[in-house]
Amino acid sequence: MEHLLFGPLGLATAGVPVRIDGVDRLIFGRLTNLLSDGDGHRQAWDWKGASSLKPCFKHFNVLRKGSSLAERKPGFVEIDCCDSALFRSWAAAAVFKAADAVAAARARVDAGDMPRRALAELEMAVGLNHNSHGMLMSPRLRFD
Amino acid sequence: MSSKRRRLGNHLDLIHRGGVTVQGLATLLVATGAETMTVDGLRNKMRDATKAELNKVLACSRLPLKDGTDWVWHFMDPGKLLQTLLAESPSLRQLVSTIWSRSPCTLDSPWSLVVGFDEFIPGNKLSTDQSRKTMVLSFSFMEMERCCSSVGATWFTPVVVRSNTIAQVLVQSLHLSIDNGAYWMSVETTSLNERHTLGRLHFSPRFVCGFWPTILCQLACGLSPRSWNELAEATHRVIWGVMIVVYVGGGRVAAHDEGLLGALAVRAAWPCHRWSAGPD
Repeated sequence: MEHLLFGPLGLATAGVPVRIDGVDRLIFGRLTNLLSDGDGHRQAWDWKGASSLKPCFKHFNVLRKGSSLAERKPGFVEIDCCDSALFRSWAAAAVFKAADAVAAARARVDAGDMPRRALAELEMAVGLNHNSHGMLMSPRLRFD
Repeated sequence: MSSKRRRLGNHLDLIHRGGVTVQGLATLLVATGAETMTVDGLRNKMRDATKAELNKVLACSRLPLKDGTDWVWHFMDPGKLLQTLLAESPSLRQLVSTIWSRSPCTLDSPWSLVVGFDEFIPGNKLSTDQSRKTMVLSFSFMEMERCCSSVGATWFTPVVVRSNTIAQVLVQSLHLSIDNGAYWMSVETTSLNERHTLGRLHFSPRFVCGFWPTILCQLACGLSPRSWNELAEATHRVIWGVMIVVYVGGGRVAAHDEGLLGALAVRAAWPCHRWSAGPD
């Protein structure tokens, strides 16, 4: 993705020179959509996946079936809920904030200010793994 | 059966015959000179022809693995792939021309990039061997999809890589960008837990738009800027030229970025778009 957008012929920076109708033009592109299945999203976003406590990457209030957490706080449902009107989507900014929180926690773990178990619990709570060179950690690859 | 006829029979076995006469295929083989070749020779010739086309867009990157060895990663340069396909395919070129007339693409209003990322497992579907699992990255533009959503040729696939290899690689990346009006280049090596910046060259907006570009332009090019656009154009070329010098002289950029120099030269020679709407 970095190469595609920010490489020598990056679509977001230098542009791709092409000749259209006899005229030299530059094609620029801005990342707006990532089209993938669950496994692709899991790899691309360092999401913990469908078997995690957050089995849906899109809806933050959907929890794993049998986790016994949904009934403790209003607004949360388990993945077998049949009323899709109750599902609430993450805002992109909220996902980035969660990823930043995990990264900050990882930095604290590395500095010895935080136990590793707390980081694991945070990762489980937000459904994201820490990956220092993942897409979520690259500010230039973040999009709404 | 003569040896020539036997070779021709072997050649014909290589080709699917449905709907094509044997005589027609034989004529084709004679026309291409393939009838005088052995089966292996024909295979090699076909492979070489494919390779020659592939080499135009192929890029390779030597990446360090976790076990300390290097791995040469072959992939298609996305920009070159797009260039080549547009150059080779008249119908795709026509399509892009149509889209361009509807929504021209500039740095300030770029096309919307759609990236597809999915798995593909080649070979026997009944085999449970997960080491064959391969991730495929494709891209297209939303503007193309709006025009012809069902045309597969509008998807470009530059990267195919085994998923178990991805996990083994330490990433080294070169960043070249314009952020907040500043030209910015850095080389970074990333391991699983840390990121090292090997080199960085940064030109601030103040530098780009300030006094020094004028001096540089006058000294380097003998140019006396008469307008904002002319100044921006000259500055743009000087800065990309400096980047080329740094790239060549610095020696800090990995060898796999051998295409960068040419790209920088192209970019330096290309008209500056960023300031084209600036105060004049």
